[in-house]
Amino acid sequence: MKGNHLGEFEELVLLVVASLQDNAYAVTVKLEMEERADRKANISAIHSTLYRLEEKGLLESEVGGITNTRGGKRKRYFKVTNEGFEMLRDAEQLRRTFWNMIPQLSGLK
Amino acid sequence: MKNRKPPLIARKLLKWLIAESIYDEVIGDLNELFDLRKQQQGLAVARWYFLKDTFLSIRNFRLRRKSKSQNTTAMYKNYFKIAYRNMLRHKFYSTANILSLSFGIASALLIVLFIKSEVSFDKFHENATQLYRLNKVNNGNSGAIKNSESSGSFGPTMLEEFPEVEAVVRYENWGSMVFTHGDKNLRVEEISFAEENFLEVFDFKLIRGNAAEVLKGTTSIVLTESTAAALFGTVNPINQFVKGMNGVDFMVTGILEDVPQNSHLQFDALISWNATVPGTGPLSVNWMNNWNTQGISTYLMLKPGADVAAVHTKLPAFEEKHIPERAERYDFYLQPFADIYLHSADIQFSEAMTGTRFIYVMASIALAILLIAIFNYVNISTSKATLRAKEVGVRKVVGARRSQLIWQQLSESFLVVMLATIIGAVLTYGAMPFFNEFTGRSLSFDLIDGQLLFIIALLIPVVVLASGIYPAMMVAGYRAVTVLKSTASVRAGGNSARQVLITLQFVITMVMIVGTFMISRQTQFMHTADLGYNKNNVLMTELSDGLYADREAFVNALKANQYTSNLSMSQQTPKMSNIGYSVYPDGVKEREMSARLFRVDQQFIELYEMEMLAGRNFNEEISSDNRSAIINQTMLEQSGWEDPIGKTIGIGDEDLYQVIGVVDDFNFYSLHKEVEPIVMQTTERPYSVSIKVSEATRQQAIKALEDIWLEHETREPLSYTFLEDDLAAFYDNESNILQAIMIFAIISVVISCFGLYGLTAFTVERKLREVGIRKVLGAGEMSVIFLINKRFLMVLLIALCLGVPAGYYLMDLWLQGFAFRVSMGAEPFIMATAVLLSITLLTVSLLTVRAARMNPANVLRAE
Repeated sequence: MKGNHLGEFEELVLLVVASLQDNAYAVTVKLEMEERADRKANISAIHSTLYRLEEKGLLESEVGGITNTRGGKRKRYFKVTNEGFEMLRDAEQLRRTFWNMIPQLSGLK
Repeated sequence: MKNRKPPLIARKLLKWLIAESIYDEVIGDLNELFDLRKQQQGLAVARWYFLKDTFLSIRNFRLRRKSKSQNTTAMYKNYFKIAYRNMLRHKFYSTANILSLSFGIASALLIVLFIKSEVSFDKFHENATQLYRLNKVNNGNSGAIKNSESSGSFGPTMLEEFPEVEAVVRYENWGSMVFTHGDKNLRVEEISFAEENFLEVFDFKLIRGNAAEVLKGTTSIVLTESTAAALFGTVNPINQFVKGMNGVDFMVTGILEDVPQNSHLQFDALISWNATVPGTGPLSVNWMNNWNTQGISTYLMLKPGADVAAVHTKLPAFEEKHIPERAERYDFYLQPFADIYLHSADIQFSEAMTGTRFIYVMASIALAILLIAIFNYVNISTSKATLRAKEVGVRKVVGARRSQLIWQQLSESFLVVMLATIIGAVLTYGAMPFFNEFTGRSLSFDLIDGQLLFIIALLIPVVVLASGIYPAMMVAGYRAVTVLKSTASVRAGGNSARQVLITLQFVITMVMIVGTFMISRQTQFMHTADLGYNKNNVLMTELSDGLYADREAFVNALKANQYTSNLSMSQQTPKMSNIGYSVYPDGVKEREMSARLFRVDQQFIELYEMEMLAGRNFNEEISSDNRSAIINQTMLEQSGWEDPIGKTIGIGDEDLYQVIGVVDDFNFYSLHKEVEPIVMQTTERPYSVSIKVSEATRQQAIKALEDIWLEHETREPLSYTFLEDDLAAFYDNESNILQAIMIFAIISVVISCFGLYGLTAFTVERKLREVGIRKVLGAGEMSVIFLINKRFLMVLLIALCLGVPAGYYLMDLWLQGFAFRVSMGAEPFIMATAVLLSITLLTVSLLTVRAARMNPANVLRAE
């Protein structure tokens, strides 16, 4: 299925959500990405990706409580689903397979 | 800083963009980022990023807010269906509504087209914004009068001395001239002399020839297409010769497209200005090329960005330097070229133009007719509104919101207005030829015209809102419980609004009727006014070059014929607007005045039946009469003489003339102008022939003139006119437009009648039961009729109180444009009242009498 493969940015977002654990919502994802991956992303891009991944079933979400800092608006916390983890693992696996097939580099390792 | 929040507009946009289900989270995220950035980078940056984030969110198509599915198309289908059924159910009211709106829209469209063409005048020249005409204020003895004339040396010298001036174009409309090519003679009506750069500065389209070259020579002539076709047929006219005035052969150097109608400069052929320059050109017209004679038009093109005010401040010094003896009297100024057509009503010698006055009158009429139609709609639909109460109640019960009901009502208005627009467009299309004939324009109703489509597209929603919003609000405001519970009919509501509207309608109609009366009276007046001479049955022609040389034989032949024997030879006639001369009472230079010269013969005063107030007429027997002058009453008043007979008067640079008589004032040219001082003298060089004929023998006289002309002149064809026709032509433009205005006024009255009839019909319907009860209790027919009519009579009375002063004010304003005008008097107002009263009574009584006569049992049976 075409929808089964992950785009590079999608994979990154998925990884960041996984690493943030209980505190993954759009703003933290964006900040984390800027800090760790040194990657500038507009919040709208993050939004679009998060909701898309949720639609694909790789993320799930729940709405958090009201906080004062956000103009009284709720946060939507995202969590990686099992499918999501599988997807990440598959991707990792795929990569490793190819890495192993590169002789000199695998030798170095 | 006051506003510490994210930009409101961005928040609004976001709300509109992002799906409702996730809007809270998204705006929350943006808010959080905003706060973060505010702390780190400051408010401005934060606001900027917020905006950027919002705009970038636009691309998130998948997160878009979906329009709520309300099945609106089905809803609107239902609205239109109900509207359609309603229209069918109340055929009479719908027809009245649609018809009056179509008339309103058609009138508005016609008038918009008219105004559009008037405003488009002279705008087609690329340099239009840099172009000016050199006008002057002449502070003469009869006050400060603006005129558009300047002298031939003025322009070229300005070009040399004013750095702001880029080009100067001198132009003089010569009038008609006969051209000969081969054996063909043709009188061409509008011949103009034009500076060699004329076609470079102005954008008249040259079909053949080079704009920079065609007017360079001393005998060059440029013909318009139709003139060329009339003279040469299919032969190529370039480099051919045509013989014109004074027997000069002009060489055709170029062909122009016919001059567009929306140009105030109108000509059939252009002759190079060089032809008139003494010493250079063959015609050698001194007065067009000196400092003193003010007779030509000078157009200036300023450099881009040049300051007109700077030119104005330097003009007095310029005048002082070059025309010191007139510098005090003349104040030259520049009139923007694009203003000439519409803003020259107060400028002498400027071409006859309608001026802004008509535009305002026409625009107000269009608005008035449209308003009347809209008022009709509002009146009829609000009074009918109770009939819809049940429907509204049911719609509310099943959950319709107020705004939806308003939309429903508006969609009905929309349907009506659309229908009216279509009918109105058809009406406009059909009325166009007649309208063109009336106004002397050649407008076309062209739907491809983007501007017109834009106007229609704008007109529809405006009319829909203006006519529909009030009834819609009223209907939507009904309370479901009330309208559904009570069996008794609901109060119609909007009563006072209807009273106000119908009163206004009456006021507008009143003003229109008064206007129509005044306009027709003024038009009548202009055609029949006492001009101070008898204009009837005067056959006029002008001597051709050939006849002029041998005029004695021609005149004698005319005199010998019984039909043409009563004739006068002169240079000027009362239909001409001749140029002003400087005259000096008692020959004293300091008492200089401006007067019109009439160079005439002994028969002139008698033939035109002018009245001598003092002294005597010229007499051919008295040889000293070639140094005599007759002045008019105005000249006498302004000269300051007690007894003018025997006084002397200096005319131009010539010697003194002796005043031998005073003639009563007579109007020459058009009644728009005041009477000016006139000095008459005899002439050795007459070319205008005025023949007094009798009403019965007009045809014989024309035949005799033709025969005698042909005997003496073979080259030029005869062209003759009757003075009364020429004079009527002065007012043609105006009286035609006035007639168009009258027709619109009548339309407005008819539309008001529609509305009145509709409203009465409704009132009667609603009062039927009351009338029934009254009749059962013994009321007579008259008292019943009065019962219904009294409301309309009250309204009429109030309308009269408002309409009379309004009408008086507006008509007074309009009449001020005429130097000679009818007095206002009470008649138009009495007439208007009578018309309005009879129309109202007739319309209303038609229905009330029927109501009064009906059998009360018919309406009361149901109770």
